[in-house]
Amino acid sequence: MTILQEIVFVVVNMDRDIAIKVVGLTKYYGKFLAVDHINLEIYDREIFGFLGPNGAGKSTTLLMLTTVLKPSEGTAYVYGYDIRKYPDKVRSLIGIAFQDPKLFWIHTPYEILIWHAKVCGYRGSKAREVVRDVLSMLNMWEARNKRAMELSGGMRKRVEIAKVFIQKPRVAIFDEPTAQIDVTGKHMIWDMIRGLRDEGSTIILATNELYEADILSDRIGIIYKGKIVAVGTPKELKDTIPGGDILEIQVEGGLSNGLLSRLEGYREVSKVELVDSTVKLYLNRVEELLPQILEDLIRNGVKVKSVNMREPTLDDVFMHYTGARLKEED
Amino acid sequence: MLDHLLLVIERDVRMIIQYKLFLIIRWLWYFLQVTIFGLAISYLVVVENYLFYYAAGIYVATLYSTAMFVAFDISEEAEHGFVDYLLSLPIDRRVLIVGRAIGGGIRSFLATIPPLLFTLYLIGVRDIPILIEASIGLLLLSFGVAGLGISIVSFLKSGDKTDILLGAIDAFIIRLSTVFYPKAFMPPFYSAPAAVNPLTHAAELFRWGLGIQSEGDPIFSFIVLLAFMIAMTTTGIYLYERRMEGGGWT
Repeated sequence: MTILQEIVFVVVNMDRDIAIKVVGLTKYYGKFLAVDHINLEIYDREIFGFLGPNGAGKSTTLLMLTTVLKPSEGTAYVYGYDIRKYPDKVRSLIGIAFQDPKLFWIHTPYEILIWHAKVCGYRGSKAREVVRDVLSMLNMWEARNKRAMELSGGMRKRVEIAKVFIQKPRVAIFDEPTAQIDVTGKHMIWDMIRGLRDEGSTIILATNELYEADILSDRIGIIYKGKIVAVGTPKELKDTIPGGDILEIQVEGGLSNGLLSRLEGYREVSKVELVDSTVKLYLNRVEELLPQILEDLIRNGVKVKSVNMREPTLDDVFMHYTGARLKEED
Repeated sequence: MLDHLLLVIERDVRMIIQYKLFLIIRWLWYFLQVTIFGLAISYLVVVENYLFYYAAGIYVATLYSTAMFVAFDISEEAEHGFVDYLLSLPIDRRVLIVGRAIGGGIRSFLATIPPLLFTLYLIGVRDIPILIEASIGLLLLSFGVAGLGISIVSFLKSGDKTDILLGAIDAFIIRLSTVFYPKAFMPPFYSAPAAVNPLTHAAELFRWGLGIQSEGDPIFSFIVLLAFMIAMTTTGIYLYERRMEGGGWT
């Protein structure tokens, strides 16, 4: 393929806003269907959370996207390049930090990352500089000359994700990036991932940690038993649960039946319960509706003592779509 | 592309440093084998200057087993999941395999320099240009054996099976060659496979380079070794591309 043909090919196949388009992607291991005809679009420069329990098909999907595994059926396009037809081109656009750190046990972090930096196109002092910067950011500079086998699980994980921060690829994939990493380290890595996105990378974050997916992802795809069961922003997904938000309002002296019926009349409210002096509303978009409800109560002479509201978690979303709890699945 | 090829070669060559103890034992083994076994056996056999014949032959056998070490490297890398990392890199797969075959070959050649120097010291160097030509043949053998190792480990996708098969191949390929004995002394059903065995051609080419008793045509041996290298590297690329993508390592 000439350069001109390649340019024409990319222009024809690339939708500007779509970084990755997955079409019927499927993987069988023998007779076991690990990934089941997935269709998915990941937008340019977004952090896409890939949420699912262990064994749901996250890693297999990512390995197919990185051309490490060959799909059994279907394909995916990375910035217009078909992973089946142009694996070399796809690999030049994608970088991955694996779930299990891929470090050869006899090498040191410094050796591993210098070699990796060179493979990614850095030369001489530039390679040393970028490795030093990334290792320092990850608090690994002191441990740079230890052998991989002497590192703790968290340290190995840091070396693994350092590869992606050195590479700065168009599509950066992190497979459970903060597993085995302490809380301070997690926040540091989340900030670095956001920074990478801000520098122009599209991020795929495979995780089974609900909080991580919630705070980091622009959109989330829930994968369960090899199938994508839901895709949307965390808020959109939470709002798809009928009555998923819970609003508890403690009032003085209870509520009249008329007022209860009035509350039930809100379109977003699914159910209203009155227990002693606390009215409990199951609704959607609580943050938008709360001022309206409070105003209504106060206008009708109700004295509000306290308000407590709770949004559904991603675990509730997962439960809604799969009938299982993510934590139980793990 | 060339940058990536050199990086893959460099990585495999640098692995040599990690195997210090293995290499020292290998060199010691070679030294003892030549100075004790080779010397003793040379008094028992009718081949003229058998000690020289044996020293050259066993150097080729040592080169073979050291070059085959790349298969164990890949096997270990696969068990640690490291192959996935290599496959995910922005390196053309063919460049990756050719680089590993060349890197494995150069590494084994470097790793056997002490036995080579000892052999040269023992036998003496008569014609340096001829010796260099013969050494290029030995390098081709190293590349080919590394390619063979890559092919085997990619095909089997199992560390245990690789160990067993390499042990079996080692037993046959060395014994059914002229590493230890000339073809003239072999029964026909041994000499036929020995005639097409790359170790035979490497051993004969090396003996020719050293100016000692050798059988066959050095140019033909050189062509056989070149063909062996091309065939094994091509097979390695084919099998690695098809078998390593897809996991299933046992």
